[in-house]
Amino acid sequence: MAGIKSLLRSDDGQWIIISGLIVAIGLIILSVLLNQAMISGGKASEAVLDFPKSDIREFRWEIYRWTNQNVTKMNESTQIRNLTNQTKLLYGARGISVNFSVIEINATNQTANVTIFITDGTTTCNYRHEFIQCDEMGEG
Amino acid sequence: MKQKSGIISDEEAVSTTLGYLFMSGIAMIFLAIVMVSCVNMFVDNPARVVMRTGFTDVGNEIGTKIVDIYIICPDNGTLTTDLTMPAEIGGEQYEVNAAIGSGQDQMIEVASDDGKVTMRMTINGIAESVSVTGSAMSGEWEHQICYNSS
Repeated sequence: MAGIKSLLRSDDGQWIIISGLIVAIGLIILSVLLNQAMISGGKASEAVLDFPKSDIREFRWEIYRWTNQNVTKMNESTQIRNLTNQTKLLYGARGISVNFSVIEINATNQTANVTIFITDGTTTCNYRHEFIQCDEMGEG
Repeated sequence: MKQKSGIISDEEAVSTTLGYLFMSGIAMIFLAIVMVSCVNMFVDNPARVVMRTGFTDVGNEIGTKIVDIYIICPDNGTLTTDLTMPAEIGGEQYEVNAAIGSGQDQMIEVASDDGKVTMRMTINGIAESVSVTGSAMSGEWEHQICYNSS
């Protein structure tokens, strides 16, 4: 009991308390600096992830592939409508709006001129006049 | 022995309360002097470090998007993408200029309004084949990067 009383009255630990205070202030400063560094460190990588580069390339390649396989049937509007509806559903599920239309086709020369449109709200890509040479598969 | 009197011979110091007030006062005066005379060390330098990091980050973000656009841009068509930039970095507004230098050496410059910090980032020499121009102030939150083949 006497031991506890003397411990309560003891005022010998000032330096320990002061050093504790200094360490605490140091920790607060460090955590604030670290927090700022973390906030400012992510925009470049964010830009890479946000930009729908692969979606645009993928959709363009899909149109190329489909045109290559169906160049002789592309005069039929149902074929075009089927593809447009399918791709709209497929990309719409990922929050991407797409459109595709045929300007002209030449079944003899196996060539087509098409327009391709794709947007995810942030990025909008519009291929106004895309020339497709059907025997050169794999482009895009 | 005759007891000494007067302030010189007084060995009793001050009361605990007065001692506390004296020490607090001295500490506050010390802190005030340090804060006034070391603003450069405690405020300006950290702000400059934050600005350098932030400007590099914003410049790289814009550079990355421009290079990405260059990779997939249509031969005949348009491509636009939205871009958001923080209004202030390290408490300073800034300007982004995409037309610093020309050709292979063209760079993006991000500079604070007070002119103290300027960072430059390359765009991998794409300006050799595609013209890259434009500038933006950070006061506006939303910006846009536009590509037009014509």
